[in-house]
Amino acid sequence: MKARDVMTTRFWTLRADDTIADAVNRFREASRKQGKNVFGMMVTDDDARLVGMLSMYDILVFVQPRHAGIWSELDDMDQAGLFDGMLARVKHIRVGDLMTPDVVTITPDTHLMAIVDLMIKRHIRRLPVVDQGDVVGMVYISDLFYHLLRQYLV
Amino acid sequence: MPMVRTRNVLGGLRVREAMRRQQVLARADETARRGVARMIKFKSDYLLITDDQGAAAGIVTQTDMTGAYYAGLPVETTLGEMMIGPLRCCYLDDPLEDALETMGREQVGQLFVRGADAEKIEGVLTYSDILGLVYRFCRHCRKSRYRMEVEGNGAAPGGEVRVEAVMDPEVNRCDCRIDLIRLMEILTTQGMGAVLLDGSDGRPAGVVSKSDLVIAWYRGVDPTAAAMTIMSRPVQTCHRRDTLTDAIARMLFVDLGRIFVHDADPGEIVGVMSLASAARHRSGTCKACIASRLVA
Repeated sequence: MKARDVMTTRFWTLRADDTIADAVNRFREASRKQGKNVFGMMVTDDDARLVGMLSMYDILVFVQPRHAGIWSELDDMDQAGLFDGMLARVKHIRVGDLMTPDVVTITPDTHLMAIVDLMIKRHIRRLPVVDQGDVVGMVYISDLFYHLLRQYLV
Repeated sequence: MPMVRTRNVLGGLRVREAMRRQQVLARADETARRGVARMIKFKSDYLLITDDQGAAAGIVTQTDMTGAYYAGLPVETTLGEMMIGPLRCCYLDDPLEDALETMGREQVGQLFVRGADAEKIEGVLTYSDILGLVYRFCRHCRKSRYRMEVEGNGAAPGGEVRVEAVMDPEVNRCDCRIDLIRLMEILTTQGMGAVLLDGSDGRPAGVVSKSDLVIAWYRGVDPTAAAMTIMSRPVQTCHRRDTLTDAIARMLFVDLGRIFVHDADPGEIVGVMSLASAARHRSGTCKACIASRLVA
């Protein structure tokens, strides 16, 4: 009933100076290779230390137009073109600009019920597993879910 | 006795209808680096600074950060050292016109909105949000060009306001090789949000706004560097005879703080229109709203 029992040790990371385009491609590549959707990744520094997390949500917050409500009312404008134009203007934005720098972490020995508690109370879907400063894995809510409820699986 | 009432699209509207509930918060003990990253992520021109109890304590704007860059302060400076207060506020049920007047008089880009609980900030009102409301209002008006085209009620009305009626003909411009220190001085003394930069051929080459300067500070750009190294390109322009509606649409959808106005030659800039000037053009975007009427 410890994090080490459910954590995945195959994980992809990003660097703070990667572009958002790099991150989008890495998300897709990781999802393809892991055989499940990867919605967030750890961001590490030159020493492979954890410096933040970047999720699809973080990127969507950024690319969402400030007047998102008006967009849904416009059926007489080239919205796709407008949106592409907006994305073109923000090519200089980096992963480090959008990542969440305050990351909740667990250790390989964190109890699974403590992880459930964390995920529920703080609306967290993935938790980096850090052992003495080194990133050693990631616990995804889906893996935890199926591990705890495996007796129901047919 | 007859009373003259001038109709305008803001008449009767309240602050609560235009304000934005989402606020971009930061703690006073966080660094400006953290704050700038949050401003980038949420496309905000300011940070609402909270104290240890989560109560609003002050504000840090792009202007404050540009000042810090100019003064040579490191980006690790805490937001608490830069914040200013007290907050400029209005109330949920204040008329939008009054709030707009306050913003103009106080020379601020945003007003924080309080509700029944005076200690609680309910939202924030910006020029961009007011303009967004005006745009939607006009678009739904039965006299709008859009509605007339959709409903097949004939050609568009000829009474639409043109950009040239709203634009400011004075445009701050300088050579793109000017250094950032000098450029910040120009911005500060002129009280402007951006400077148009000319290339060696004398034509518009780019724009440097306070947003660009804040990002330059965040990225560690030497303030003695040439402005052309951080300028935004291409220059976003419209024709002076474009309708105000179309120009506002571009500003809103592409998140522009201002749009430069050209004449027949796209390289000949004859004015600039900011979100503030467009929002202050209270008669809306169509002359149908300007007409005064007698109310018995």
